[in-house]
Amino acid sequence: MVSRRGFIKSGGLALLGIGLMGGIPAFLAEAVASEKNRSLYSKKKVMVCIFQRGAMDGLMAVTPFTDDYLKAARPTLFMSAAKNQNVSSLIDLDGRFGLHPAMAPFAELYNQKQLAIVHGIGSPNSTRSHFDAQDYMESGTPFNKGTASGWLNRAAGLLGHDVTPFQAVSLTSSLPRSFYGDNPTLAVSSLQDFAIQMRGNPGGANMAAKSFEDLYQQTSSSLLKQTGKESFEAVKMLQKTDI
Amino acid sequence: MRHLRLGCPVEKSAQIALVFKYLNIKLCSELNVITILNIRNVMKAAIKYSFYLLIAVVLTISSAFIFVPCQDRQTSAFPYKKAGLTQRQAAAHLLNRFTYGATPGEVDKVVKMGLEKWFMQQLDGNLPDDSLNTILNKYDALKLSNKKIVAQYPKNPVVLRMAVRDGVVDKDSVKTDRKEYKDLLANYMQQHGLKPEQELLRQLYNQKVLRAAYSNNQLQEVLTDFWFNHFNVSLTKNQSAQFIANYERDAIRPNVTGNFDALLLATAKSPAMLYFLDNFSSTGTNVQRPRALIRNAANPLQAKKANGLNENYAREVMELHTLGVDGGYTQQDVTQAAKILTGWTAYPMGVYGNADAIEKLVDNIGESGLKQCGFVHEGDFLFTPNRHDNDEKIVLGRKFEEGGGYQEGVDLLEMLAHHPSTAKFITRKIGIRFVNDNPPQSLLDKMAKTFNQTNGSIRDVLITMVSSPEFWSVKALREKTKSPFELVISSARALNARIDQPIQLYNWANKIGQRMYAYQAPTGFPDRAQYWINSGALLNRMNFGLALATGRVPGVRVDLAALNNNHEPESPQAALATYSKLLMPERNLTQTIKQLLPMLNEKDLASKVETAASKVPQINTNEEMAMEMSGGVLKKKPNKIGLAQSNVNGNNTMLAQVVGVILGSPEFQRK
Repeated sequence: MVSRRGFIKSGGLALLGIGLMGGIPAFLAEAVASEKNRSLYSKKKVMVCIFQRGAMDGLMAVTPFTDDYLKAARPTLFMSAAKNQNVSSLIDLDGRFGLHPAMAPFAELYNQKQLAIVHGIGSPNSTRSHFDAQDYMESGTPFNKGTASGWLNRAAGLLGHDVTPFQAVSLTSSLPRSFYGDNPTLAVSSLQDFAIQMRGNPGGANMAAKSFEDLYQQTSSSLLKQTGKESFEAVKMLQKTDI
Repeated sequence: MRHLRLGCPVEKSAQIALVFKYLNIKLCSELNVITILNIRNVMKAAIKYSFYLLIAVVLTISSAFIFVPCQDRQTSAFPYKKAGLTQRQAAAHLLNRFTYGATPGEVDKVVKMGLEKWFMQQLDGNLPDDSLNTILNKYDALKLSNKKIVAQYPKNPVVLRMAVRDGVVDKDSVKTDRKEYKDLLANYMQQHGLKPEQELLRQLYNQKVLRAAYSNNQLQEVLTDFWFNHFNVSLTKNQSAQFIANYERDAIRPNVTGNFDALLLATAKSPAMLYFLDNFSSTGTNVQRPRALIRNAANPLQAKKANGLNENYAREVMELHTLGVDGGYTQQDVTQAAKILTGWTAYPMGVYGNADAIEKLVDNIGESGLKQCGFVHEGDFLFTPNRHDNDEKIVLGRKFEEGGGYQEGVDLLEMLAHHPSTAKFITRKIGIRFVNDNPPQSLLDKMAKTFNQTNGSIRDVLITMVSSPEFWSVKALREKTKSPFELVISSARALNARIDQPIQLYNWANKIGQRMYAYQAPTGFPDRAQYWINSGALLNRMNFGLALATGRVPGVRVDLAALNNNHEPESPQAALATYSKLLMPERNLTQTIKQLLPMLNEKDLASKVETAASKVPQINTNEEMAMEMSGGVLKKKPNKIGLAQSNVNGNNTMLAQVVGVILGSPEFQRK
């Protein structure tokens, strides 16, 4: 089984995973806009988004521990950054925010300036529906449910990558809402799926792959022809990268 | 009277005569009818024919549409000859567009019956489906009312709440990930006759596959799919999920060939839509004060907190369901329409909307009392006047007087259904689905005209479409790309597959890019080739073809030899020619066959395949579909589905491989 890390590490593949913590669509759009001239992505950098559908308590993960209101509102949950032998304490980041001790590995990254935390960002639409909030986060257009595309798909079109089948990949079984749209995106639950398969019959699979490649090369439908070509290139590319 | 758009364009008077002809009565002209009736006045004849006459007159006066088969003028009805198609090619085209794919021998059947008659029969949708219904009978959840579904298939948090209430689990020690805890809840559910929501969904998925694959009334299935997608609701919205089975059954299915306004109204009032686009909670600012009668009762429908106006449904009903985004409305129209629809909500069920309280209220004042107070209760729909905005509103220039209550919502939807922009928007969408991704304007104009002239009769619009030369043009032929679901089902149909585990096909469609009932946006799945065809999806299409033909889709059996009357093809080359023709009738397959022949001519091919086949190891894959139905406490691991269960070694014969390649070929992706 190819690990996700292996996939991401392998060179030449630009990857957008799905989702992210909290809501950053506007922030991201701005970042993309401001960085355009420096061609940030020409170095084949990879952006990974992790969208936590169950949500995360951001105030526990990164606590503004000097905030008296928070302390008053969460008398039993509140954690302090003060060192105390008996109870676990927050990892003080900057005298104001502290990382939950369970997130200790992130502290190191933060100190090396490899990690930034964008805190307290959310949708202006304060719907109490989990599903609507999620939907708005993915479309990037709070208050408007009918937006056909997702924000990651629109972003994929702006990032200036070479168009490869792996321009935007979601490691899920179905395409997530944030990937809906006109830019080519891909959902694969496992990279093993990215090949012609006949389980237990590799010889047959090879022959079938050859037949398919020929057939798609000759088809009169330009869409099927082009996509077929890309598909088989991608298969070969993955075989070569040997992840 | 509507226009007769198919068969002979006959005048009203002549219709009687033709109906007689249809009833096997030999009458030569209208004059004969009159003769019998008025001049001869022979009692015997009058008695003999009065029954038929009665039928004839009733049909003439009341029917929405009378189809008169005119064998001699068949070709003038469907103008495919002008487009250069043979009758068989035309039949194949009809089957491509209006079914989930032709079954073996179906082209012959349609040709024999007559193309026009076949199409009208499909529009009527009354063909017996006994064997399908026998299978579907096992799916008990699909017969339930929404109220019963809510009671029997409670959502996981509801189960938890009940179990806490009954002291089965302790509120403060909820440990969802522990096995004992899960067993405790499972046991509790069993004792109380409760079933997991996953079971409801399983039945929903299975029926979708089975109907698409087996129904004789294929057009009804295709249209149910089309309209569901047009008025899309999604399982990904938790509140809506439980109501989706009945949304399809009660709001969509009965209206698929009817008038557009009926479909619109049925969806507007269905709990699935009310929850999906939030109208259930929309509350006006200037609401009527509740009358003493309901104030004194529990008054559950007074919104607990003023939820306020929710514009989601009002916006999407204009943008996506009727006028289209460029249909000529403004944000002001959206807000005003939303106000008109305040108070449109779902009748409380289960934990939704305080159901106990409304039952108490109804007990107190009765349904008639409810009506007196201005409520409208129809099935699962409820209009509550104490959430309704009473001000005057103006939408698209039309004034709705203050105090319009429930009726102004109906009037609004009727206005939208009959708007010229709606006629254009809807007929274009139909054209895209059934003709090609860019249907010609000349055709769309004809269809929109029919829509306007027939009170939005979907049936008549479809007849106009197939009666137009554009439908049969080479620009339409094979120009649509099958959606993943269409590909999967058409493959099963083409192979006469026996489907014991329909969910396997549902899962394959998902893998190829179409998770039915779960498109998250209200737009529904885009209906264009570019959306479906990307590299990952394309490879999965090919892999599906190979898997199905080689017997590696568990619970879906194919008998390839039987398709060819158990004649074993003499050579791989013969197999290729024979099965290409069987699976893709009436197509020019020269290119496909030419491309594949070299593969078959490879030396020692058969022995290579067999050697590989003999080395087949035990299959141990772990394909789990992440159901992503998050939010539940009882988050069960999805059922393991896929190849792990079945240890299929598959069928590695040359024939299976050839058929697999045909199913995965570019030609088979088109319809």
